[in-house]
Amino acid sequence: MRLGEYKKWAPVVLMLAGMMVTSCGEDDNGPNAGDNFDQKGFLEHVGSSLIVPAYQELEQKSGILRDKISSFIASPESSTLEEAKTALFEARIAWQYCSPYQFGPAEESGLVSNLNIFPADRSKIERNIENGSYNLGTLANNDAKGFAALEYLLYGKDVTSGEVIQGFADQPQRATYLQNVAELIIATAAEVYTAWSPDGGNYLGEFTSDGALGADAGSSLGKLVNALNLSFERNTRDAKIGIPAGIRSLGITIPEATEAYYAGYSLELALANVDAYKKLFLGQTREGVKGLGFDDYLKARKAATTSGSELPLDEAINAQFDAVLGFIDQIENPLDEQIRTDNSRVQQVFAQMQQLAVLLKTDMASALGVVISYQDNDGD
Amino acid sequence: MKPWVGNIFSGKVPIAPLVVFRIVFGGMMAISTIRFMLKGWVAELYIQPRVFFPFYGFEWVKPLSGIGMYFVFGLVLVTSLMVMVGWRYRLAAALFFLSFTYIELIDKTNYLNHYYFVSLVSFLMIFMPAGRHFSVDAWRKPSSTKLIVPVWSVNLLKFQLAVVYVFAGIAKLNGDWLLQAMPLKIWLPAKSHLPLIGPLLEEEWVAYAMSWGGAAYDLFIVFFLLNSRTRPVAYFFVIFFHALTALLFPAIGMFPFIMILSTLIFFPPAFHENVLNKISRIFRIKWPSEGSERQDNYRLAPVYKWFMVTFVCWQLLMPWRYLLYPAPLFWREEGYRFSWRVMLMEKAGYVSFHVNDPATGRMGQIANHDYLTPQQEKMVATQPDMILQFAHFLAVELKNQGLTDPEIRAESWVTLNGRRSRPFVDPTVNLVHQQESFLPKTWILPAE
Repeated sequence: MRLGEYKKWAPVVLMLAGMMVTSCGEDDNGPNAGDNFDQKGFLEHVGSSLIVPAYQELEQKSGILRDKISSFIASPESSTLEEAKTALFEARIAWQYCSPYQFGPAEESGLVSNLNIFPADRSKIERNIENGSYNLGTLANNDAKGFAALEYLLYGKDVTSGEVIQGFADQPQRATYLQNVAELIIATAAEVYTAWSPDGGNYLGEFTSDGALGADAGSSLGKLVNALNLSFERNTRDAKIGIPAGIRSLGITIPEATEAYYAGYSLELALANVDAYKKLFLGQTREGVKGLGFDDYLKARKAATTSGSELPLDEAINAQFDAVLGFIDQIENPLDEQIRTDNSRVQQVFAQMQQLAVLLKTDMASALGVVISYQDNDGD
Repeated sequence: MKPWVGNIFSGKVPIAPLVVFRIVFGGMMAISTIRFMLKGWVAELYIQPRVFFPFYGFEWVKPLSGIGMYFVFGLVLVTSLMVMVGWRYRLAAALFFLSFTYIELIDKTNYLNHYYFVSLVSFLMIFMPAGRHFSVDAWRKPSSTKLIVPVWSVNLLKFQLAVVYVFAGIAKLNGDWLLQAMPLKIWLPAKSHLPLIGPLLEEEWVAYAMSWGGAAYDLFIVFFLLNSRTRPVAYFFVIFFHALTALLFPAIGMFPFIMILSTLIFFPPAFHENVLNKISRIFRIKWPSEGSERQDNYRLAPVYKWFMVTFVCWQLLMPWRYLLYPAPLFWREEGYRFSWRVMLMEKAGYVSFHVNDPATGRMGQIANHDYLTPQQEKMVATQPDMILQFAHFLAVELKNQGLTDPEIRAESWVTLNGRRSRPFVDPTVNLVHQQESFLPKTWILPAE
């Protein structure tokens, strides 16, 4: 029956008809009827097999990064520089798998602000180093710290590795700054991991507790769905692709705003990031072991099939993830060069991400009964 | 004129029901206002937003700056308490109505049917002699006391409640609600973690039973409340129904409690007199008897009579205005508000605004969150009139940034009651050149 086909004149007739439908309906539904979804099991799997390992990995890789940077500072030479760069890359990949989970401890610790605000403000970094007095904890320094700042310091702009190494030799405060930024990264990453860990703050326990079940604003599901959407829109679609491609600036491209502008591996980071969201959707661990995911949740809710040709929602979202990954595969590193030479293909990636955002934010959230609102309010 | 009509206009009834209603209404409004302020919503909804979405025809209503909005909320609080205790009752009721309605007119993002209900009831209360007994006014000036009031005052309140319920029931008589059990089939399983009833909520038949039960409740409860023999059972259902909705949908806030207490008006005067007597005994207050100030035989001045008739007709017609627009109502939302459509659909959307500057050929998209609060973003995405308002706001904003004649188009996707999301408005239409009016919007795409 279509919307709007009212029969207001005959409520009683409709009521009787409906009772018949209701009583028949139970038999027709077959094996799916009353197919209860184990929401607690879903949260336990996502929490303990995806989120906690992701933060554990981030802490570990950030620790290695700090150590490699210390070694580089102790003996600034080509080999230690390369090791520091490798450690930076690995820590950044680890971050991509944490990025969907910016709620709870991550939000409280300001994880994104301390780790992954980009592009870094070169002149601010140089000014800080020059002055020697700076507080990396301030909001004003958000774009002078984190991975992007480390990248700028380790790679430099239009300089050789030798010149980078020489720069540290010439300017001792430069090494101190590098060290301070790396220390802040590991400190924040460790704080968040400890907060989640069952041996530490055990936010995992809170995340999977009975009191946090359901789909309301304060529930774990509500937080997770809202956080993944917010992060996907702003940190993935906009920051990694849309802003550099000029989508938010009337077509004036900003190639320098790409995530790894100096290192040139922006696309690897983007691919890992989208992969993180896809794995979360499918309930897959980093190693690809499948558990309860949003796809199973949507199946249990028999989400949305209206016309016959349409894929069920879980398959449609999965296909859209592949479309996004496919379109990223078709563009080439370095991303800033791609934007300068053939931006239309980057804009296509944005369009595919937009379509994915629609499915995640409207269809999926709606089918699960999650209200998308980063704001508390009455409704009716 | 037929005798019963005369009775509606000039009949008499003890004042007690009106007094209890006044106390309950004023008290609940005070609690609601305090709750609203404590939650920080004054700043969040009326001070911080960069853009507001006034109703068509009320574009001149603007929020006051900063502390000014707190003053308005303070006025709402003070006047609701004045209504409750009956101090300068009529002035208080008028000021309450004006300040409360002013707030509601600022931004349709925050529109709720129960706020509309509060505006209407407080408007009616301005004209009612509800402060003539059991009030500061009567205590200060015993001669003003009235123990008998015109029956139209109580009946008008009953009518207003009947309108809320019956139209809410009629709104549920649609295919999605009755035949698909939508949106309850989405909303109820989301509550399956609740103790005791939780597991049941995942059963499909429960969604159907509650859809039909809810529709029947809304349609018929008033008639059972009106009948003295069924009233006690009916009131039990009122409590049960609203308590259930409060439990299942905590986001509806104060509404269930307002309805539970407001429907007490259906009880006979003796019940209310009993309540008032008990309170008087506890506080050892002795109220003056009928005052000397007898002004009339409770006959209604013609101007009031016509005003009442107009109000009633308007109430009965407003919810039907959607019939003047193309279907489907839930998709297009033309004539959706002010019609007691409460908790009726699961609708979510996503809208991006594309900007084109013909002078330079430059194109881009707006980051909605640069301008809108999360709540506004959500509402804009599914409501065509708000899409248009925001596009017009953006046009001004972009002109201020130096664009001479920006074109703004909306690309939007909306999902309704579990259907797959589909394009909502025509992405080729330059919204800058579309004007808001009461005419149907030609640029809304078909629902299927």
